[in-house]
Amino acid sequence: MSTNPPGSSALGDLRVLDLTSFVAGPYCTKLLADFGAKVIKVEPPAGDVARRYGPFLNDEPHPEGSLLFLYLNSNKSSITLNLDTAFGQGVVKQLAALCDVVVEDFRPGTLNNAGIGYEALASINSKLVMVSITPFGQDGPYKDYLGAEIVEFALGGFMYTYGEFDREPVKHGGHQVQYNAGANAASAGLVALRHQRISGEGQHVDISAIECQASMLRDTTSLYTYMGAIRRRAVKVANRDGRGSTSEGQGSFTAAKDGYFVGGQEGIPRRALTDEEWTDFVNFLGMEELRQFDTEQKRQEHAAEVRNLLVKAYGQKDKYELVEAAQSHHLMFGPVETIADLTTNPQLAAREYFVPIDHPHIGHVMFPGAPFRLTATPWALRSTAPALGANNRDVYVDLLGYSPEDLIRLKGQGTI
Amino acid sequence: MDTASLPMAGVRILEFGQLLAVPHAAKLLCDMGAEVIKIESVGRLNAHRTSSFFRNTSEGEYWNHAANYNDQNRSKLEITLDMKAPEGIAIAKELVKISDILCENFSARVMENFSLDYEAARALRPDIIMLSSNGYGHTGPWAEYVAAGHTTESASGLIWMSGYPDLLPRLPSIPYTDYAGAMHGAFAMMAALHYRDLTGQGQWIDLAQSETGTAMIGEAVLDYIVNGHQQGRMGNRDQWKAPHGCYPCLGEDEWVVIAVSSDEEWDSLCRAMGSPEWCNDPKFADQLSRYKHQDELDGHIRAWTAQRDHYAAMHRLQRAGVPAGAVLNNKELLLDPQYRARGFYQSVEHPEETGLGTMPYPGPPWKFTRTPGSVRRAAPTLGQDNELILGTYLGLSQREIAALEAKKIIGKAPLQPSRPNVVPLEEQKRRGTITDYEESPLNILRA
Repeated sequence: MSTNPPGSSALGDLRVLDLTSFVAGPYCTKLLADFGAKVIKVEPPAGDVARRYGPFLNDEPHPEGSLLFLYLNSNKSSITLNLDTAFGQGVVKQLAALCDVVVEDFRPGTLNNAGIGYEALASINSKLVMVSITPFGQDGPYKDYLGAEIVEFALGGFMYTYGEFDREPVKHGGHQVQYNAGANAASAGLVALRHQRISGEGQHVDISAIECQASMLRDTTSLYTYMGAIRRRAVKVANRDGRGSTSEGQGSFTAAKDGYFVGGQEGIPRRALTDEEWTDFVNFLGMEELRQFDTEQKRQEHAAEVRNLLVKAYGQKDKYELVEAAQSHHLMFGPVETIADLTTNPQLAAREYFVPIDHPHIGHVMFPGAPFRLTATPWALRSTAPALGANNRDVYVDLLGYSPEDLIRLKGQGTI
Repeated sequence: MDTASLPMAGVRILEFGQLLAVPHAAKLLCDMGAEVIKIESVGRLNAHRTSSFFRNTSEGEYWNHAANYNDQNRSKLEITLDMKAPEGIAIAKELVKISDILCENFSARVMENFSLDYEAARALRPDIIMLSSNGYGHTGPWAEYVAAGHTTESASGLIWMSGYPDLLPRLPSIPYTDYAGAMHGAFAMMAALHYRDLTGQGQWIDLAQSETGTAMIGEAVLDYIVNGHQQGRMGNRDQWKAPHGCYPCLGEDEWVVIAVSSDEEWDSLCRAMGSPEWCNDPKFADQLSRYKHQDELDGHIRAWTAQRDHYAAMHRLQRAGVPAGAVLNNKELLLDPQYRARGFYQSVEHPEETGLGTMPYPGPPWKFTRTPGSVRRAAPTLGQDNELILGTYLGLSQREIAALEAKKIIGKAPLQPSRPNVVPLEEQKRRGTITDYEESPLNILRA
């Protein structure tokens, strides 16, 4: 499909200085690194906070055993550096001069106060793109407020619409707000880099996690501007066993033999099936009692009975089989996957989604791979997440010209 | 509409986008100066043109009054083409030749049927970048499955971790994996464009919306692979922070969230609540103990929040140094001082014949200091830019354009208008899809 030499990467010419921690910034730089950018991750001497955040290998907290850190820092180099020291600030300036992009996630004003904010670094490297990721943005009345996943989810407007009508709004799984902000920041960084390539100008890009949330609410805000409606959570009805519908009536999970699937209105096809399709479906389900309802009219007249029989029949079938049978008639059914299911999911297996890695602390395990396929310049794992300060020598000695003895002194002082 | 100084100036994106997953991706780049030409059909209306109408009425040209469509497609140009007719396909091919990026989220085989799959597009434009985004990816046994946000999020694993711990997973009312696909799609297009600018080579991007959802729970997937732990639903709780939750406030359906991660924040919380006696209970003396007794702790906090409105609770807690946030509804977002101070919602004027007037939309989520993007133009009315694109871009004469219109290859109204049913707001309120509704929302926002 392509004439590129093997091993080409899309972003191989980019050098990124990564001053971020936890999830949002690291996901941004992971996307860049996984598609080839050379990312130097600067960690405080105690390490990225994600190293102290679970899950951990064997549930044992260990700086090299955090699976959150392992996932988010593939393909990066790590150096340790105390940014509160004059030496640390000097190193940031030296590295900023060599990089195309700096990504940072400090509270607004922190880097400025340390003399390494955008203006200071741009005076050294006028082409520099700086991407700042914060909960609420660099300015505005909330800029000094404290963020947290659930806080940003609430202030971003998604949470109010999420959950049962008469219960408290509920959080989405994991660190979705952070991942979102990170993915937005990565795209924005590449857009700013395009401007840099064309005009020679760098700039400061300000990413607010709550604005990233508020930009992905479909028509939620427009429902107010267009018709004055306040959108709440799911509808009041259809709430048996938590299988309530969303406001679209599409949220219901139906039990199969080995798990759940989603599709139709609680498993009832949404459109009228042709007589042939019905026969075919009944043949597949193998439930003879269903055969008598061989016209849409009969199915409508005996809707409750048909529904009960279908639900009973579904419970005898494996979810993948069921989905395949429905999909053969273009019915929009899909499997509901547990986390465990993902590791044996036939689609992910066929697409070789998981790739083997060998990590010195965690060992030989399968690792989630490409989030999408860039076919000519594919996602590639060149190195697993670095040990804390693994690249101190490469960066301080080989790149910046300090001596190995300096390195020992800096370590002793707690500077690196 | 001067875009010359914007970072994406000179990049033309041809969009065969349905609903959200590709339209949102193209919108992100469009706001930053890319020119997006959206191809629509007068034979089969885009589903987003058939719901959420201005003033909740489908009278008149309802297809130009739909909030969903107008939000996802602002700043874009639009041409209508009958892709069932050879003339329609021929025009689309001419547009591929003058485009940098082609993006689509049709189900399987549609682009192939148009002879516009990647190989065909590349024959027309050798350095074309093409983004194909679908539910489960373009290879493998599920490649041809029809999908939407609720099925792809269910397949991604993310849903298994989402919702209340005591119920089955809860799907969000917003198609989240469409957005995950859109954000990764925008990144993928930019990465491919970066590479093309350096090497002159385009490429095909195969994006599975479900896989982008899985990419956003990588740590949970590894927890299963490495430790055999299946992460389930924690609701509003955290792995180790406490208190951590969503607490009721004074007003109807008003809530505030609080997330305490250290002794320092705990002390601040106690002070902000007026240092009540229960704060000194030894059960709450350290983080681990607070975590273990959080049911009881939540009860105390609820009693405090229930006497305050959500904003008052949030400001008081934040000013004391406690991470807290009001759970904002759609009206509150539009009025919130943080969004307002940063000019997040941007107003554009719709064409006069739509009667929509000046309408605010969520602006670009990327704030560029030197070359800021913006909502440049209201979403196109159906076929609004047919003449511009066919005449100016492709050099067709007025006669040729008129002939295409006579043959219904292009048009500005649906061939078979069928007025969608609209559920009156009072009935929606009864059903609970909305809490309430107000007359003249724009006047309230302006006040």
